[in-house]
Amino acid sequence: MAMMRYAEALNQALREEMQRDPSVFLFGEDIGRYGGVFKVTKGLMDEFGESRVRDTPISEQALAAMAVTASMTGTRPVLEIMYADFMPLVLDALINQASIYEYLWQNVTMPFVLRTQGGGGAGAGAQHSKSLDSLVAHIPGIKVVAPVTPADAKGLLKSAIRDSQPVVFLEHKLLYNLRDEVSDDPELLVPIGKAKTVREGTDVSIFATSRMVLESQKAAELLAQDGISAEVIDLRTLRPLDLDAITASIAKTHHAVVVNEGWRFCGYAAELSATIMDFAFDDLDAPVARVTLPDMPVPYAEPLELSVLPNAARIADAARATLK
Amino acid sequence: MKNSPSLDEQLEMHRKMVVVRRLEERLGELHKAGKTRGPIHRCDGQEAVGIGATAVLGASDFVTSTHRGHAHYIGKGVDIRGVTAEILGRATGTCGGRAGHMLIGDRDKGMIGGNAIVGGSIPAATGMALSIQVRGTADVAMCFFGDGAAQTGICHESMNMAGLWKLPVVFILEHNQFGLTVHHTVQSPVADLSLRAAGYAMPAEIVDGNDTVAMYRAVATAVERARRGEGPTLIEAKTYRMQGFSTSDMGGYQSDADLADWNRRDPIQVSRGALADSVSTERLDQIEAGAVAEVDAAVEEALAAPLPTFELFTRSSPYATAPEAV
Amino acid sequence: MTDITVVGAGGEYMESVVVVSWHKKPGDSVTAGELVVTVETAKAATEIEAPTSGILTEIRAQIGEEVAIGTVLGTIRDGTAESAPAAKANTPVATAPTAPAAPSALPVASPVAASGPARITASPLARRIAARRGIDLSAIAPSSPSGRIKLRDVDAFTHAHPAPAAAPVRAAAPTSTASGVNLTRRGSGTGTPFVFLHGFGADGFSWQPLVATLGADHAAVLVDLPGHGRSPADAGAGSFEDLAAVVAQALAEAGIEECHLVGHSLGGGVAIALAETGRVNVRSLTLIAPAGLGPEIDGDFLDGFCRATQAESLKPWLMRLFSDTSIVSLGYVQATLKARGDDLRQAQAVLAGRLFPNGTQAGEMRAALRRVAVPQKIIWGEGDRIIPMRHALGAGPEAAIHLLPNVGHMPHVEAPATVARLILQNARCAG
Ligand SMILES: Cc1ncc(C[n+]2csc(CCOP(=O)(O)OP(=O)(O)O)c2C)c(N)n1
Repeated sequence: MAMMRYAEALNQALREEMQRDPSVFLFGEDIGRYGGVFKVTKGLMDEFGESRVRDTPISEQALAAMAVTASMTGTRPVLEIMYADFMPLVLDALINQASIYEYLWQNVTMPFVLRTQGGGGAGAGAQHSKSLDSLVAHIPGIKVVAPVTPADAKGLLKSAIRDSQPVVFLEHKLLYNLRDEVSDDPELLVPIGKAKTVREGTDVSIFATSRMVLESQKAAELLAQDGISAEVIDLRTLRPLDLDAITASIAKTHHAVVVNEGWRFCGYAAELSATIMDFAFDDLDAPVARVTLPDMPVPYAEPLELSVLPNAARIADAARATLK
Repeated sequence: MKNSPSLDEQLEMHRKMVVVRRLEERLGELHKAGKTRGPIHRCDGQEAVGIGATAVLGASDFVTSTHRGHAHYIGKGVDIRGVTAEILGRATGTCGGRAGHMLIGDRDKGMIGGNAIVGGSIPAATGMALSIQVRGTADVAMCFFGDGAAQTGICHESMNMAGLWKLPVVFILEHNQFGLTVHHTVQSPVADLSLRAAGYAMPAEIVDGNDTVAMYRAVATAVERARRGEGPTLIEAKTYRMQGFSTSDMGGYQSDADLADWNRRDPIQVSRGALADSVSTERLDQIEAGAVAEVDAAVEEALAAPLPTFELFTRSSPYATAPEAV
Repeated sequence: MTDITVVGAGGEYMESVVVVSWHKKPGDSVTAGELVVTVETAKAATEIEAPTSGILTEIRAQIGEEVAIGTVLGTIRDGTAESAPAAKANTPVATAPTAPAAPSALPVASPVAASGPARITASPLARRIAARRGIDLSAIAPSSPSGRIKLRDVDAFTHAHPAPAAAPVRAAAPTSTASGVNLTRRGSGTGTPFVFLHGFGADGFSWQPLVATLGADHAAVLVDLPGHGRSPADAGAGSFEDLAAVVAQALAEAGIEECHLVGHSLGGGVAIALAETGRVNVRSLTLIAPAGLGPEIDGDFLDGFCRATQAESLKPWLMRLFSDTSIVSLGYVQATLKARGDDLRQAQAVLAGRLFPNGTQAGEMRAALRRVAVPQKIIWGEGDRIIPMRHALGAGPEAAIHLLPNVGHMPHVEAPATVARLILQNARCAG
């Protein structure tokens, strides 16, 4: 066990997997010499050389399509897309390429990982602050994970690299400096597809993704002051969903709040809420409440940005409303 | 054909460069004092490219810009007070604090607009040029983009169509040697990206990007060509980024020798030198002092201005959102 | 007042039990030592006797409910049956299933019913619970500002209007059929029952986590296959068809003519054979990691499992069954050992030798499965290490295949909620 930052945990996962498997290689913008704009790939070019850690031109669309075919032919590429806001550029590779071949050809696998980071709160403006989880979670055949703690970041990244399917790995810019204990066991993986109950409760279930888990935990504290016992579930994997964890929690609390930092209309929270309706309808004692970004660009000025990002107070309000 | 700036134009370019430089310096200070938000991309050392190129344009011409657009904004005539307030996230900013420094747009001034998706400015200007051609006016569209942006797929797609349809667009490649932290030699196998113009059947010119007059001349020729319906031109302006990628740059990849070399060719000093024969030092000092005072006043005004307040949209707005209550 | 609890009742390794049946209803008198309630752990049913004589005044744990060890299941009060009516009148018996009460007998003042449109707004949960208790929603006043009736309103209503207990629920204790095969009935439902056939080395109780999620409103019949559980050790069976014939006989004796059939592993192969005979009307067929769809099976597992007589040797094999091996606690291993005496172990070894000689599946059911024309689902864990998941492709074109990530050979234990949903979906397809 060692204390480390989220970014360092990711760095350790990459290093261990590259040591373990020579077919793993990294590419992306500014990830080599500079070590990545969030320093996730720091030191890896020195250790593994310029062939396995590559600085690339700004060519996201081609990079993603290349990750698909490189993975089909014997390597395990890990591509870094600097901001989730640039995901629209790589969607063709995911939607029209990666998502179809295993189905069409059967005897191919595409073990690549696409790492990116999103989210607001850093004053980065409308083209550098988005959470586009639903865009990628929408795509069949692609797994999507979003770890919150350094330990999960490491364990899930290792699982993602070893997975035989494409995995989109969603980080959050405000999580990189989060410090916590991380195991140094190189075989400790966190399974994809398993949610984690981060706080047990009996009155209302809050299902959250990425940084919103932290806000939901704060919301649970606020609710506890009112005598409301909230259960907080960190979904960790956005696709495939851990249905058992979701239905089991609702069977206990009968009330659900879903929280996601992306847009509301057709957003990830909408999918969660529909899934709950599909599988836990008869256990619901109130409609599912959604807490999301409003359907608008993330504004720049601080008071504007803080007004639109979901936060603990809004989550707690939503939980109280479902319990009324 | 007139392709040299008049003395007045030259003095105005000089003044605007000082405005931009002073703005960058003040933003640097404010950043250190914790009074700015998010990363800010300064263009110190590159002012002559944006100011020289836009000086050729008229009010009805269009400009599209990048994440490093301060010189483009000021060059195209966007009010320095609005720009400063926008960068400081004030209600009085050009965009009411919604956009921030990378995304400023001002339709009335033909600056539409900043773009932080690298490469985004290139098809943006090409589309405006298409509209100009369809409408049959003599306007032009101009886009700024970096050597990093030149590696995107849409750069090729846009230039191909511009060449094919002879669209009235001027491509200004602001070659400052780096895409974020990655040197151009790691991004492209060729040193002069203007080589590519041949593939789109358009003329190209390599220009000293630290010399406003050289910029003005080259761009004037390109703009005239576009207005005559002869199609696009690629201008490759060689320059250098003196203050790192952004205020969050941790550095370590630019060499001191390069910085010192380029510092000797500071565009403001180059401009002063060019004006020395025709204008007195006092007059130049006076112009520069005026520019500095204008920026300082804009900064003070912005710092004193109110922060914006958030209002939910009405039902008819494209951003109307369903209420959250259960 | 004396509490009925489950302290030490088969709870040695278990943290919770499921209430299977109450043998008394509130108001009945009981004598110390008399059987009052049957609970079930993952591995065995336990009968709980009255700790004292008196009157059963309250049932706190409903049938199908999972309760922690130590929970009070019910209470017994001193006295005799004569005083029971008074006790009944004063004590809410909200938790006992009730017959639908006549709406006219109930108050009708509810804001929604009085002022609103004809449709009553109630949460899905409130609707479900009210229906189960036989309560007419129009009698209930919502307390939420939303105007929607919530569970708490149904609970308050139940409290205020205790109804007489309905006829006792059909006893759910295990019954042996004339053929000797043991069937355990679960749940209070009256619809087409779900018949469950377990896998090799398991028994009917292995379905407990699944049946608990299925809910008590469905009727379930848990079969102990010959050579397993409480059924005779050796029925001389040598094939899926032999086992199916014995099960068909037992179901016929128990009066079960029609069912939704669910089979796991060995039980899957038997289920296909049973469905094909037509001796029972199978409405839907759900196969979980079934045997019979291909030759491969993990022979080492079969050998090791049959040989193991102590926890240390059994545990590694049990771990091979699951994707998340943390399920295999010491308690789980010991309970498995305890539930399988030496005679059963030997009988199972013989059965394995006949059905799976030399680590190969001798029985071939693919053609039979294609002939069974009922809704079919195949559920397989992607992490199955006993029978390869690709055998699922051997099912016919009409079978729906569900592959569960992070699940091994025991989907019904590892992902009971998902499996329960799929079984119900399949049953619904049967119309
Ligand atoms: C599509 C896209 N990819 C990556 C980025 C991150 N990024 C911002 S600026 C930049 C470098 C751009 O280089 P260049 O075009 O030369 O402009 P410069 O910063 O040198 O002015 C990068 C990679 C981005 N904003 N958009």
